[in-house]
Amino acid sequence: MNINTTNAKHELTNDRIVVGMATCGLSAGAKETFDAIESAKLDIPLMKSGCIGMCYNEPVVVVVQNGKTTYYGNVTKDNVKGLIESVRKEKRCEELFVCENLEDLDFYKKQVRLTLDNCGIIDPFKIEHYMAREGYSGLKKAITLTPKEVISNVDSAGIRGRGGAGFPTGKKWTFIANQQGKKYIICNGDEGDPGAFMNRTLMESDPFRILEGLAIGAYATGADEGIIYTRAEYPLAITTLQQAITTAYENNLLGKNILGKEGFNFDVSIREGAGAFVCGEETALIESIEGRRGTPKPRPPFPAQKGLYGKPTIVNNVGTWGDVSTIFKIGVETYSKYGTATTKGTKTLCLSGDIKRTGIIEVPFGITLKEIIYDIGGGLPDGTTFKALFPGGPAGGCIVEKDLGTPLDYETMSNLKTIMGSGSFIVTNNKSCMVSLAKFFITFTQSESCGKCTPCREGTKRLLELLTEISRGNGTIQDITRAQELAEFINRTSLCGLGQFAPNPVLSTIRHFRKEYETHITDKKCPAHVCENLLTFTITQSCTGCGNCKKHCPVNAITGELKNLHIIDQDKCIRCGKCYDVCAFKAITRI
Amino acid sequence: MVELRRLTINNTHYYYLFHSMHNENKFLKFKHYIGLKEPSHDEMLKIEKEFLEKIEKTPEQLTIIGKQNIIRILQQIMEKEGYISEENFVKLSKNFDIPLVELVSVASFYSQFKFNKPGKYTISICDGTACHVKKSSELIKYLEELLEIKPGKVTKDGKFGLECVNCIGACARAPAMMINGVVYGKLDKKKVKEIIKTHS
Repeated sequence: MNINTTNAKHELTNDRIVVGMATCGLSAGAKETFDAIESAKLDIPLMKSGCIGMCYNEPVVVVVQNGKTTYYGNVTKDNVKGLIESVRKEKRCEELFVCENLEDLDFYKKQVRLTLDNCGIIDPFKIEHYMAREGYSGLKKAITLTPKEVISNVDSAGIRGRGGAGFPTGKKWTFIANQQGKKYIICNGDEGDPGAFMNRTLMESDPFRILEGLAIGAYATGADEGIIYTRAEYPLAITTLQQAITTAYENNLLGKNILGKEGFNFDVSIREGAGAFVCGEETALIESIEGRRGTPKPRPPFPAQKGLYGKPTIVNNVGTWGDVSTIFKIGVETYSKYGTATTKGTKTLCLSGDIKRTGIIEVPFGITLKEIIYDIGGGLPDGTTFKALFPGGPAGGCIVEKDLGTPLDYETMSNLKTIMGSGSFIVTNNKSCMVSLAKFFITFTQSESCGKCTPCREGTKRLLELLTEISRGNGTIQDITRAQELAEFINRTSLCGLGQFAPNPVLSTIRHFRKEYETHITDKKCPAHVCENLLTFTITQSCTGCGNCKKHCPVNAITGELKNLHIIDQDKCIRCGKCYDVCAFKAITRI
Repeated sequence: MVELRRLTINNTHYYYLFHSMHNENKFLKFKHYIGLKEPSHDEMLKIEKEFLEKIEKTPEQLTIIGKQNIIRILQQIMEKEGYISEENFVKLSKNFDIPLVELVSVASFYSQFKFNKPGKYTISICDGTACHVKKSSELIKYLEELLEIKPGKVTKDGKFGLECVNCIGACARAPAMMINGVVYGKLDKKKVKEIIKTHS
């Protein structure tokens, strides 16, 4: 394998313009921005990269001119002309300027980007770029050790499964390393948690990172076949990974006698998911690869004993494989410098929801949730206040203001009766209704329930019914207790993680926001004005009597003459909100 | 002996060939899907000959390989035609000797597989948590009114299909939607209207 990195090193340090073209960037219009800059035929080389992380500023363009670096944000096809002109004049475009150093931004100050260090910097399709930044140095180091030593390194680094369960990775690998015969390693890229896109970012922006980690894992465990299972909803990630796999084969980094090491054979292929959230669970994932319905199986036997096609298998998250690569690149000592006593290293998180700065971040374990939301995320937009943080997607439950001082770690989060999860952090503000959100989460988990075990299949349905009645103002006080008991029962008796954790949002919102539930029931009012059935639509004095609302009311509940104040008959009103939508004078209130 | 067999579902006839034989104490079955029309006598002779030639070369593991790859095969059909017709199910079932009910059982489990002809553009509006918190339900309602269809249906002119999906991974650009694989983010009613217009 002779990859010339000299050119790549120049490409990555000399003058250049870089446009972020991962899914976030593309959805903001980065393609049009790229095309416009390309047509301008500037004297500086133009290149594409993955996601740099500050999604709130997409599309992001980095200009390195005369050795000086400038970051520009929100560069759309409408304002890119200004940027092009500034480059021509060799001046700074003030209108779109973000910073000269990422470390100057509050968003990046507290981050430690170890696994995300190539994202947004290299062209993900060019292996020379990856190699120029010490790519595959980890694998080269690993094959000079024995497989046992590699596993012991992973152990000392203290890395725990990044999918959410936090099982020690080194320990998991020993389960199959000690077995003979055919073995499989699987990379779980079925990132189904709403709010999570860490895996997508790594797959789109630095695919070789994952392949290197898998190769290290294959060497350590003796597996000769690896499968990357990704969601079908990530088309760009699949294309990028497929291309990377082809390139890796061409360069003796996959296939037979990798890097010249006799007998080190490893094949990797991609399997696409087909739209089932439950397939993120390892036994369901394996069922899906085998061509069956993705229903989980009881454990034991664990996949390490009897997994894919009945052979010993280990499943690890995309993030874990990326971190394995990082550990061998920077060394166990450097990696374990970060983190807490119980969990070493860093975690990639996705910030979204009602927060000023959304995007993908990488922070050391031990950082407080408050620092993540306020220092890195910039807190909530003006005019709103923090209400709750929902970590871990639909399984996480919520964390309230008083607990934001908690440091980020698996145990600390489970002490708060939530979970670390895969890394999705969704922030909600005072205008959100906790009953409505709990109902929303249960709707999701109920529709994704595979149906195999009764507690989850029937339980989530009944729980959803209870919450729906409460949100419609038809609940009783006993319903809260019923919901809690049912939720705890589903948690204790479900077959897999989906069922076990589905009731979490209900339990934690009742625990922290019980008053809100009671207001829905006893006062039949939604304090956040969200639950539609509990809203009252009233026409105010600003009414001009145009009659538009009367025309659109589907139940003829509005009366009034032209140019006179109109009135809504509250008994007839079905609270559809049509009048509110069509009123051009903002004369209707909904509270 | 090659038999011509017929499977009838809801008044539609599907024709296929059936052949069985003993091979070292094993009883092997082979099936091959022909089509919706009953073949003439001459056509039948030709098809029979080809079928028997293929059987000579085909290993008996065809069924097992087929079963493992069933999701991939269904995905290929989805990519080509945008949905899986009843005929495609019968074809796969006969050619791979997998019970039709098993095929439908696997296909109906995964939300990616559709059974109705899609519109020219499929609008997948995201209702994942981050988008939901950013008021995606208002946009869903707006799209229902704009296109005059409910989620899961296609417009009368066959141009647009609407579906609600759970999290396409563009959470930092919420609320988001995907049209035929292209993601649009940070949406509001005005932007949605403009994007739909460019697809008309």
